[in-house]
Amino acid sequence: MGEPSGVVAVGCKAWGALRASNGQVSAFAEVGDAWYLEAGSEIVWAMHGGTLPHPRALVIAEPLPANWPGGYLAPGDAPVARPAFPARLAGGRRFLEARAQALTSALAQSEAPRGMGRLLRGEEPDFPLAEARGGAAALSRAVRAGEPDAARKAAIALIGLGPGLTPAGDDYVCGTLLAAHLLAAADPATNAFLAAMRAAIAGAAAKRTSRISAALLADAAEGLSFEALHALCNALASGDDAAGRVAAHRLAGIGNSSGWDMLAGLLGVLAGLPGD
Amino acid sequence: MPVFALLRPGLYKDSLTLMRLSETLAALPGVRRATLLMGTGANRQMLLAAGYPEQELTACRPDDLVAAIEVDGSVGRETIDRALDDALSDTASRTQGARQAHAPRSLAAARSRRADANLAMISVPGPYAAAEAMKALRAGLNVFLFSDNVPLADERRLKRLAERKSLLVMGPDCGTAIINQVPLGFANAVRRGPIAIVGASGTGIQEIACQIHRLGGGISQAIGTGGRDLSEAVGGITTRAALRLLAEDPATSVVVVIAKPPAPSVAALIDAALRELGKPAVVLFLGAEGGFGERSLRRVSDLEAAARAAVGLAGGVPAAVEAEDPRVARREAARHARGQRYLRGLFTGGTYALEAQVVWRRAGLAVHSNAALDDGFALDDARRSRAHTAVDLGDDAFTRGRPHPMIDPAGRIERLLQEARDPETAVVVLDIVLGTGAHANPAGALAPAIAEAKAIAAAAGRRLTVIAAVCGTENDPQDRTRQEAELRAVDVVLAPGSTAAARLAALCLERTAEARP
Repeated sequence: MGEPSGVVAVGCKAWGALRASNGQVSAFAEVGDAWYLEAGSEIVWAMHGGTLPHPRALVIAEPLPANWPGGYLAPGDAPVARPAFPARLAGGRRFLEARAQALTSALAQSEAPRGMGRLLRGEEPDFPLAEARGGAAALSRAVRAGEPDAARKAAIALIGLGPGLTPAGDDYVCGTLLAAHLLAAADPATNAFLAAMRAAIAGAAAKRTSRISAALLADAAEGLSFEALHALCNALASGDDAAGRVAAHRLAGIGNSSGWDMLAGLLGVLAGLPGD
Repeated sequence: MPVFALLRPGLYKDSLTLMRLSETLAALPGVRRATLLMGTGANRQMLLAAGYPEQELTACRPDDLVAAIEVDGSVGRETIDRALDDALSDTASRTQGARQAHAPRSLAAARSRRADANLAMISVPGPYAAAEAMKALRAGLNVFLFSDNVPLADERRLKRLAERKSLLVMGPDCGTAIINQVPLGFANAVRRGPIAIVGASGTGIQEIACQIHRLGGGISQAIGTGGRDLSEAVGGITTRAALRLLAEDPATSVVVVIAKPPAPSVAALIDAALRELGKPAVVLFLGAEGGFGERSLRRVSDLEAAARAAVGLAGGVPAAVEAEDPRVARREAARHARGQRYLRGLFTGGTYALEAQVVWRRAGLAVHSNAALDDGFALDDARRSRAHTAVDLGDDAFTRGRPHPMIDPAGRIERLLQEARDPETAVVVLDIVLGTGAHANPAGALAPAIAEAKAIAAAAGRRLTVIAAVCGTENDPQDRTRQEAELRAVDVVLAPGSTAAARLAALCLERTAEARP
């Protein structure tokens, strides 16, 4: 059994996990283009080719050998990427909400949303998500209002719900968490709300959803998620509508509906859901 | 309705694979719905609330895959279990293959792999499509632009650049093409032969190609142009470029052009291009009157006539194809109740909705449509029929946020049942489109709904006549013969093509009128 060749690029979460495990990993799933690996108690995912999609990912020079059980996979000198996030918002919350509303209207006219993304058009998601509509709206409202108890309750009800490797409800919650981080950048007074959410989400995710999804939710609670979601947050914060549309389009391309689910979570908080 | 929850412990698949697996299982005969999800607590609760058996869900954990399947009673748990294993193993081998190929993520990356490629197929949301198409043209590639919602100004800009660079832009909203025997988009497995088709209409190209195949002829190239190519604004740039290419194509000896009637200024340009073609041509401008034209330039008024004329001009004698049987119309009409007096065409292809209007208008009927030939007959609400109606269910009004009805039959099923409940509906006409890109078993997916529609009418003392034409060949993955058998089994009257189906429907109505005292 051969050992994998070098790591080309590594996300900050994957780098931390590999460092802590001294590069020792065990493979537990091959999913699509990715290999999911355990590094200590953390999950990282390796991809051959492409660019880093997430801080928990790493790009390797050659595909892993077939049925590779695990072994040594050190990041070496590979560049470590931490996705950028606006530290503060010069335009303030109203500016951010206006940009998000403009983007929501543009998407509703030009795209065909999937999964929870249909909420952005005021439509009901398909089975088995129809029941999630009220809970999603409640979460968005609670995050907008900075109500930790209501937000925690609504988020926990969504975690683990819906189709997909990362259930649609989880992806929606990821989107709302990034929105909460953006709002905290606009108004540091909401940092306490964010801290309460972070603790609640990490605890609930470990019990209520798959290991892979729980790891992604915990990252989102820390303000770390898919590169396209960060690009969208940066575009909204800077008021660059064109860049926002491009980033939203890239985000919508993740998974079958995961990207749309995250998009709905983010915009549901920042722009509000139509009809709510 | 029986439901099963099948567990596969510790099995991870990405979301796209899960969706494809759901579609594969949902396409099996007897399966009403298939959903694949992780066995989390929330999903377990949701499935229990939806009536899934508790004993099958007790053991599931968040890292398990659950296939939640709803069936109609004709299929058992073991069959579904086996089908799930087959689908999973098929997915595993595809994943392996895909990994070896490792799909490129940009046009530039794809080009670096295949420096000899000369065509880019672009399918991204409309607002981004023009930029990608422009990149392809600048890289010297012809473009097959599947995307819709591309602004007209962008289409004109792209096509002008293509014209300057002697390239072809097929589209936007180009549903089909066959280039040097390679199918693009929705296409059928038709015989190779000397006839090329250039068309603004995707299903029109498919129908003519399949009818030519049935008549014993074959196809050299099929070039989609996009629905607006013959508008004043675009000036028929792609149609004219395609005709120039086909003039030089040694594999092509006859050309068929199909579109809606062009703008007058563009009609003159197309006429000139056809005269410069130097090869016999058949022209079908749907909605305009046909005629004999000249020996080498035949003008026809429906899809069937276009296929027959093309095969004739190619020097072939059209093979004998079973025609529609007028006795069937008499038999059906005799069973219609008083008050059943309208035709309802529920089409997934826009061209079929147009052609039905042409054929029914020829029979003296006034037809309403959401794609009306005459403004006075536009439906106020596409979701409700009015008198005789031919509705294009692939129109934006029906597909925004939902898959196209050629892929997902749910919208047409709803509408079929709605028509069955209407006491004035006498005949429903359906198109069943096969080929790459289409539903894996469209007739099988519709058959239970057709039986239900007929039962609804019968319970009210009526006879609902359902006429269908299958656009496809025996070589298509769905197999035309098998599809026709599925339809026959639920008492559908089959016509040999779309034109014949519309004609037969009109005949049923004439016979109904004759049968009245």
